[in-house]
Amino acid sequence: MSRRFILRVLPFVASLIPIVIIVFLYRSVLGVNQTTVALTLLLAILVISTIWGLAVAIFTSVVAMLAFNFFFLPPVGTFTIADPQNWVALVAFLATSLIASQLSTRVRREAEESKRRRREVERLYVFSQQLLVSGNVITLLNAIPNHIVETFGVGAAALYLDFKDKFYHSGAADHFSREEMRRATLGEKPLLDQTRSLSFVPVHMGRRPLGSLAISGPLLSRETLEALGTLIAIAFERARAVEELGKTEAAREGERLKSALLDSVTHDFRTPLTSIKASVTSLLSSQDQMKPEQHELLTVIDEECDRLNQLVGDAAEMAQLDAGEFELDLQATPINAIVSAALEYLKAALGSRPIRVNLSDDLPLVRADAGRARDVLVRLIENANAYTPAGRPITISAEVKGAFLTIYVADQGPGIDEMELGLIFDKFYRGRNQRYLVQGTGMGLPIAKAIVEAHGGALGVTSQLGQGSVFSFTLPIASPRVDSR
Amino acid sequence: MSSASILVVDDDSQIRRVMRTALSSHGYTIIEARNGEEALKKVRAERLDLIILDLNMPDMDGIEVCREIRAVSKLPIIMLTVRSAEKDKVRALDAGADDYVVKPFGIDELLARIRAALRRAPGEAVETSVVTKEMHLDFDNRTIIVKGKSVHLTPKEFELLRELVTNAGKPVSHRRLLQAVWGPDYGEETESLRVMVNQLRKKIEPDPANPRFIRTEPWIGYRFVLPQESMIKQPR
Repeated sequence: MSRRFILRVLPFVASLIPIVIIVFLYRSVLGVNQTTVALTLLLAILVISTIWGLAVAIFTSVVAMLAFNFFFLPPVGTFTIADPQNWVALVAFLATSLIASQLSTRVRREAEESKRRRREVERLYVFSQQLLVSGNVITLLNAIPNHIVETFGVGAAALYLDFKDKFYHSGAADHFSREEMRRATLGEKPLLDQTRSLSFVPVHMGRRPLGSLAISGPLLSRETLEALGTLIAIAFERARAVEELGKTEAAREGERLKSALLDSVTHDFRTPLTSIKASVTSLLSSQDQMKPEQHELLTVIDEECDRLNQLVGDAAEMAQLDAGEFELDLQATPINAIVSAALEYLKAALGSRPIRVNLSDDLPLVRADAGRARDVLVRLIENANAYTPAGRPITISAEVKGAFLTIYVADQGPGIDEMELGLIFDKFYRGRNQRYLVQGTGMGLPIAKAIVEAHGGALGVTSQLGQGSVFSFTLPIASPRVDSR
Repeated sequence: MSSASILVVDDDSQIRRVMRTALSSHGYTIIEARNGEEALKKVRAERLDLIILDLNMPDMDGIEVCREIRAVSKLPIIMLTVRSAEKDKVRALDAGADDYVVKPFGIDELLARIRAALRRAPGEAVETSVVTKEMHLDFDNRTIIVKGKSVHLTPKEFELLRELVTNAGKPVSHRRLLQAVWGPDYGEETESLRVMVNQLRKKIEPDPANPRFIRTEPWIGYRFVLPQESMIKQPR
């Protein structure tokens, strides 16, 4: 306290020194006229006022006027203000000190202001650098208040996140009213409370409020506070994006690994299957006579070998579709080409099953990967074939619906229970009553669904118990510009 | 039937064992190689008639082996591939393979492919005519007769049929057919090719919706099957 008092008084005392020197010099050493003395004093006041400001300057002006009056104006040695010259001197002194101090104060204030601004910008820069270091949202949120305290030299800082309703503090203590911080979130501009030396800054991303920032201690400029709010919002969004990216990247990497693993498992399964299949078919086709039961058993091995191979193939394809690791070779294709390719493929499996194909000739081309689209149809027909009693027909038809062609595969099977309708497209789901009667991998429909969806279409089913089921899928119609040279 | 020598290249010993046993019983002489390097050595050292080459091998990929064999030999090559590896099949054909069989395969299918490849092989004679009771294709005289009726083909259809028949029994890739018919600047216009194949089928197939001679090889191209020999169905 006394130290501050001394610091405040010191300029006043110091300002007397030049006055004393001038008076002493002109009185005792040099004999000069009053004008010279007055000018010299004026000069001293000018200097003092630029250095110490207005208060000291006024004090000095009064002292200088008194000294001038007492020592130099006749009657010398008295404080009589007889001469109007005296008033002129006083006014001149006061005016000089006023103007000079005002000017210098302004310059000094501006210099200081710009220095302060520069420092704040530097601090903002340092702060933004610190924000960039962290890629993890939680670490970042915990670090922000401490970074603010360190960088800006404020008392304490706290960050509030609206959507998590969580607070992050510098240090351990909790200095701020939670209610005030919640309210600050909705504000447009920073809120400065001079009396409590608190400031609240809304943290917005664009117009979306994320939360708010509270700072105590030396007040920062409004611009800096606004910049802080923006910086924090950007850093937060950035960290969140980085984290999201990492997560999806990791998920995709996982799928890729799964697919690669399945690839190698598939290969490892197929190699022995190849040996078995080649051996058993070799035995079956040998010319030697064999007992009917031997032939039957070998046929079982052959068929089971095919089934195992189908299972391995389906699992690999499902994994490939899941991992998104396949490319569609999209071309304008007529639907009857896809249908006949599917039927040709299934010729042996369908045997004597009646197949009715109702496709009108004027159907537009579809934009599809012919091989994959054929696979979809193959799986739907296979499915219908498996669940429909022998001799009952399967009907294939198609119609235009908007920008899509809908293809129907209708069977006269037992139909699907309403409860099961939503489940049949799930991986590995097998019809409840058919589970033990019909062979299958349980992956046919999910694979068909994935392929159709990759084309931008949809796979659906309607069914009536006892009447049969109608599976349908849509494929986008190719734009008409495609030629057929 | 014959004592043709077949080189079987596969890294799996069990597969080589089955092939040796099954193919030997059909009168073929089997020579084995465990990898590409060994295969190339055998190709130089042995008298061979045909090569069966696994596409998926560690160290040296089957495609690469195929290419290297082609550099020194015109022997027929049948590649062993897996399903859903259509791109590999096309690559194999481009690398000079004559045919492919999808693992796991029935031995009858493999035998049929071997017979077809061996039949084509001697002297690489290009078939310029096919004469059966159903059709008479004479490319030198540009006469096509199906079921006793003369059929008119456009020049492009004629070229397409000639390319298919020249490679009868072998799958011919889209690209190769397109280049044979339209010229070397083509290769991607599979839709135009499909349209032309359909027209050709209408002219020479008894049931165009159910083609017997010009078979579609999904994703790959087409294969002409000689009328007297029906191909065994393609397993998945």
